[in-house]
Amino acid sequence: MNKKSTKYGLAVLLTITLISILMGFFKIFSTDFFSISKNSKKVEQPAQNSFSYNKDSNYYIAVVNISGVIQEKGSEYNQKWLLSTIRSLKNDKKNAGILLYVNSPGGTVYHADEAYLELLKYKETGKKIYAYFAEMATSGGYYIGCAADKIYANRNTITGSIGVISASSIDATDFLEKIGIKSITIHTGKNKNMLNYNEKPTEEQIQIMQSLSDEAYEQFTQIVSESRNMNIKDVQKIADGRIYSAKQAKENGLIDEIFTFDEAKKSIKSDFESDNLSFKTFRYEKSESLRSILLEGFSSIKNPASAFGQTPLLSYGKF
Amino acid sequence: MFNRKLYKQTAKKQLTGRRTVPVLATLITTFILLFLGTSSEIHTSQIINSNSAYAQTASWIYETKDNFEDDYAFSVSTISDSGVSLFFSILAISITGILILAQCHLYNEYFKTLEKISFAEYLRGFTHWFKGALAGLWFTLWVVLWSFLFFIPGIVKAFSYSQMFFVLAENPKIGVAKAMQISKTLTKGFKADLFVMYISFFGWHFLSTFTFGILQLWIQPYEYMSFTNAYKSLKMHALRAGILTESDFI
Repeated sequence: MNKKSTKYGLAVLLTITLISILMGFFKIFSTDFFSISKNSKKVEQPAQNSFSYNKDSNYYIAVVNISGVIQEKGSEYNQKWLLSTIRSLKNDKKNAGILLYVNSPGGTVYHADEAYLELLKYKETGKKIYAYFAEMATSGGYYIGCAADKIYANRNTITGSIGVISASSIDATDFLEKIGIKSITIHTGKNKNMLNYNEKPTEEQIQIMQSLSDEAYEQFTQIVSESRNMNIKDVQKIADGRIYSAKQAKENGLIDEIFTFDEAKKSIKSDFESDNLSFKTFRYEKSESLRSILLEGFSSIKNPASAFGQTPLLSYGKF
Repeated sequence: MFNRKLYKQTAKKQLTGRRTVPVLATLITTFILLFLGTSSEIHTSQIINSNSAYAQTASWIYETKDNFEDDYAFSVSTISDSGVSLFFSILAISITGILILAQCHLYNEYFKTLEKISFAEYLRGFTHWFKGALAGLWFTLWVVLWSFLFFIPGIVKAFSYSQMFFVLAENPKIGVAKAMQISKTLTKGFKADLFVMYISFFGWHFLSTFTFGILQLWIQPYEYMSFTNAYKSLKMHALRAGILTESDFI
């Protein structure tokens, strides 16, 4: 009897192992399939290179929501979603422009710049971009907003914070020593392990990070200068990382108007000289499941570095 | 009555010299869960990567023409997760349930004797796979429902239902709903103790990150065995206090 149940148990174990492996592989191959078919579709679809506006037709302005920390994917923000939304709007003949609804404290340089560049590509079609700053549009949020032809802000907006954080690290060597843990990273290249929690940063390493920070700062101020039509030196005077109220931002030329959201939409309508213009909202919403919450929670404790609060390199954020 | 330290100390003794099978069981469970996790993660990235999916799901519901004085309302764009996703989730939860029940069966046998236990005993834990799958789904369903209220009720209920797999492992003939009911009765007044016991293993889990998770092969059996001891103690307490009778477990 025992032998029989052991065999039966073994059969069940093998079956669920097989099912799990198949599930894993199925997903991998189906992802490849989708990405291949997606790419081939892209080739077939002719890109719309020029946009001619006719005020008698029914066009719409896409209100694209940029909320939360600008990063690859978060609870409110998703980079791939944003880029694909901009691309699909670029090819939509009924779309006349984008109104960026920004409510973000900033994020990483990479993602903010990628979104900014995608918006510039969108503008190449002749369509217009507007930005509306809601509660907060600082750092990376402002960076993306620079793609707009006009920037409106709510009177209670907090904006600015034009600056860069290249890295922050907690040196936990003394703490680890105190609790009797020796963490060693074997590395070749004296700066390979820089800013790791188990090594004290040297002067040279701080200089390395400072140079990265300076470079990103130059890029940021250059974009502000071009976008706002300001002298780069004037931009650098106000770009010391501080935050500005809507009123201060307008005085410094960082925004165009202080409006409510409805007033901003009215202003856009008058720009287009059309009452037929409508607004459609595009917003990323993450689908949460208990498993994904649990998996995310578990994955956050997998990486020892995460326990020491190390942040990704180069960010426009945390004003 | 709830003696966390005693359960953990006893667990260490119970596992001394016979860790091979629990380590193997942990390894198998981890391997399978890894594939289930991968499939879940890749599926999510598939949704994110798919332009067409976004074109459909980056939906708009609020359109203003003449009435643009109306309050601004965000659209709720939902990623229309296909039936395939639901099917995979159900399958993953079912398999997780089967694995948990098999482990509970193994540690239940470890509790009974200090003799060596063969790997075959672990395999025998899979014979009640249907109950395990059902228990996994039933457990998840109720925890999710409670989570809708807030995150905390979900956690509280997860501890309230936490003993149902031990109940089923020991009494595979009883129904899943009944096992949940027994678990609720057993944990009444002890959920906080179970929670404290659960977080008392966090230090070990933190340390295991420094070993790339290899230490989990020792921690998981230690944790399971400790919770098995806690279950046995809770059951004894309930029987002695007359809260439950032996007939409840049939």
